[in-house]
Amino acid sequence: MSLVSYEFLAFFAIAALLYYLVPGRFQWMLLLAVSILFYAGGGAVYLLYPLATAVSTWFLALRIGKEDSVSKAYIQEHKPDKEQKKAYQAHIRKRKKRLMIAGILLNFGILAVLKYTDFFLQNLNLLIPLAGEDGSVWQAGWLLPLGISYYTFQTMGYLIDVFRGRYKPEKNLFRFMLFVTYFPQMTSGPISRFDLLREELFREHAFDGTQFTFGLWRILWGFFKKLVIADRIAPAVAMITSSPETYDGIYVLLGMLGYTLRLYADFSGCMDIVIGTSQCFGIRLPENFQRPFGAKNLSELWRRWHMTLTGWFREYVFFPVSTSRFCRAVSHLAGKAGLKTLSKKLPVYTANLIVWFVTGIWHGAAWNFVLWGLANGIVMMVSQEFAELYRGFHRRFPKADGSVYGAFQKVRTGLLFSVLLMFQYYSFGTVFAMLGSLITTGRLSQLYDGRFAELGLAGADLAVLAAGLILMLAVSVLQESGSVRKRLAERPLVLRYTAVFLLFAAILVTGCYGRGYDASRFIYNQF
Amino acid sequence: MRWKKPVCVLLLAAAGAAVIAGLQRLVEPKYMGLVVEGNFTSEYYEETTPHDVIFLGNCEVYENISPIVLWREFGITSYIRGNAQQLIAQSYYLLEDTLAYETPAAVVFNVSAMQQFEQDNESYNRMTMDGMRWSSSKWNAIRATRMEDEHIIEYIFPILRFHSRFKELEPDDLKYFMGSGKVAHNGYYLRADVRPAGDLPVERRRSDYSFDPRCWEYLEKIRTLCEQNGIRLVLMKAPSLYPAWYDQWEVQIEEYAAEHDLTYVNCLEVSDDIGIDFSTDTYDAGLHMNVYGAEKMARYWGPILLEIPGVEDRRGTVSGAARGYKAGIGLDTVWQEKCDFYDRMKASQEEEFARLGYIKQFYIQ
Repeated sequence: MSLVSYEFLAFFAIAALLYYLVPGRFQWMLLLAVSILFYAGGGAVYLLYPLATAVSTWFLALRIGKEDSVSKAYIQEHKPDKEQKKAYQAHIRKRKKRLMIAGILLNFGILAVLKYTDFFLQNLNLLIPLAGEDGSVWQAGWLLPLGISYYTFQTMGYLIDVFRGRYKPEKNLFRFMLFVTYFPQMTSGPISRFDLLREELFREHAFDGTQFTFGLWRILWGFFKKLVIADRIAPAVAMITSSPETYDGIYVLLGMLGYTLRLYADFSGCMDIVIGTSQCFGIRLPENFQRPFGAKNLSELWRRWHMTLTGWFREYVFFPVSTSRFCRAVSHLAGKAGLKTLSKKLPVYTANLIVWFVTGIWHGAAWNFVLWGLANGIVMMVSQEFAELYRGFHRRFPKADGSVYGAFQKVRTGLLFSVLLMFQYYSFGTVFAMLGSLITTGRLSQLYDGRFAELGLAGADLAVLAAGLILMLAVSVLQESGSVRKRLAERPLVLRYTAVFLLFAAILVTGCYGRGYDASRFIYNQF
Repeated sequence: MRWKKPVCVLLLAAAGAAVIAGLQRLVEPKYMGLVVEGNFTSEYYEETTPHDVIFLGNCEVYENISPIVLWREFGITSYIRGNAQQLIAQSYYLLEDTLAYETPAAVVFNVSAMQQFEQDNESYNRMTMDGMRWSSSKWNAIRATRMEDEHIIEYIFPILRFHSRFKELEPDDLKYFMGSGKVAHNGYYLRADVRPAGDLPVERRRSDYSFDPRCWEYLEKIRTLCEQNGIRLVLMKAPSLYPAWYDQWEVQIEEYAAEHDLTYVNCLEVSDDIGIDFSTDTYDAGLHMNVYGAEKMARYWGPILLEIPGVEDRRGTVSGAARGYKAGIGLDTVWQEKCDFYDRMKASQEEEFARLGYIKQFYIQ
């Protein structure tokens, strides 16, 4: 069920009504029932995947928790000396680790098999002729269960946290199932932490008119970004990015900016709908975007873009890898060889490259996504290498730190992000060829050579896009000084009603939905 | 004041609803240009007197018989509830809808709709259904005939379907904002241009000539509904040369008619008796009749219809009692107005066709 469908709106309305009608202690059960129903709407058989993940993770986490209890009880009963205690704890830790690894292998295994089998086979097919053989390997063509990457990451985060002893495992299987399948977030994130979401999911929620209204406003804003902006620009962007031989020169820039805009409006719009829906149930979800185009460098942008995913990678990949025995050993070796600076940086850079490799392949099972991820990592590493140079520049020219330079930094970062995104939709060689084409042949006059007319953007579309962008920018600027919704709520009734009504009418009339538009599927659902 | 806020909220909600309704009316197609068929269904509700005969079917009905000639020459009051590619299920529900207002003595159903049960173009569904008044019949008609990606909510709130028209609004959208003008003559679509029948595509052989069981089901429903209401059902195949009407289909309809003791007239077989000249009586090379062919059809059908009990020459009388109509209205006056409108349109089209060789409104550049 798409988040931008009549079915979803009806589903949400009925679920919300029932939610506030049932006694508070049953609310989470109702949420579990509607979540399962929501997922089963896409095909009951696909429900097996999240349920398998939920049951296996719940069971293994419980076993890990049990090991802790057994260990505590043993120590209390037998009162071993320090050495014995240490040895026993190491033994328990090993057992816990085994359980955790079993869970990780099983669940990431399911994800890997379903998502990456074809990628693997495609590469195998490329290798067969090199080995002097004929023929090709079949393609699996398996359908990916909706949101599998999200709920797998979320549950694996939980398992690792339980292993690390951050919190106790959930004893109630059904409560845990709600954590895995909670319908607003299941298909597109945000990726939540159990200890934070638990409090929200399982406490009783009395109807709060303000929260409910705020939730609805946020949903409306998400619909605006998705239907009015992202889906309006999507067909034109697809044409430009899929036909580099036709759309070169200035169109490379147009495609680059359009792709970034669509990605942002689509994904952040989706998050607004998800978080707004959840807010209507009184459940706060973590934010996934924090005005990313206000960032002054790429690292900062990535701390504001898809925040829960980058946070997950930082927590569960970057830190463990950079502090791993392997990295420490390599660093030690480098230090011994007299490469002191390198020995310090090696663990961080290794972990960084691994994180960006995984980020790339998470976004798409293709080499261009891997290259895109690695390109981001490399740019950030290079940028870090030049950090001293930047500092020197600012010491030399202190006045260059004003608002104009700040604006330049934001624009530069946004452009850099867009350039790197080219790796997602062009092949490696084409990225450089198209950048070359933009620099050497890009002219504004190319916009009048007939190619623009073929993109299907009428004058009215451009006007709507321009107005939509101005509105998005204005909201973004206002957000810097606090919640826009809170400020709107403080305005007189007529004013706030008019503002919300205008937004609603704009979506209703200018939104790209219904027949004739192949919208309605969020880009990030595919992951 | 405690009442101030609720009143303010109500007023704002009413204002919002009014704006949305206005926007909806603005973006809805007005069907006053090249395509006028979208107005046919709604025009039925403007009728002031009941009818003895109701014609049901697709373009083979609403373009092929003139109710004005049926009145003028036989005194038969009739109405065509037909639309472009009107499916048999839609005909059934339109008949159900009609029975909410009146009970005719006869229903003439054109059997060409037996060829296809499912719609292949959503626009046809919209043209047929949008003008229908809301009732259980409309609801069921939508459910029975909507295409896979059509939603009922888009029929309830047409703005959801037509919103993207904001990019292509025309002066007509403002001109006819308050209401479209009348385009049909008791459901008849008048065309006074002439395009002789020429070479038509060769009949394609089919692997299976049996009608869809769902078509049979709805034909049976139409027959039962008529029987329950004491209405005589007559089956007709209009004299359209294309799409082909196969002999195998003819046999099935003949058998059905015989089985249920229904009158069935295949006008293709009696086109000489009707007097149809395919070089002058069609405006689109044999697919549909022009006004001259439609008038000939009315003259042929008049005597047949008058044989049906309850179908009478109503000239010089007043309207009878019917659920949706007031009784006692002078029919001559009502129909004179219709005849005048018909004559004016016919004369205007004839003049334009004689002068230009085509009719501007229907001319595709």
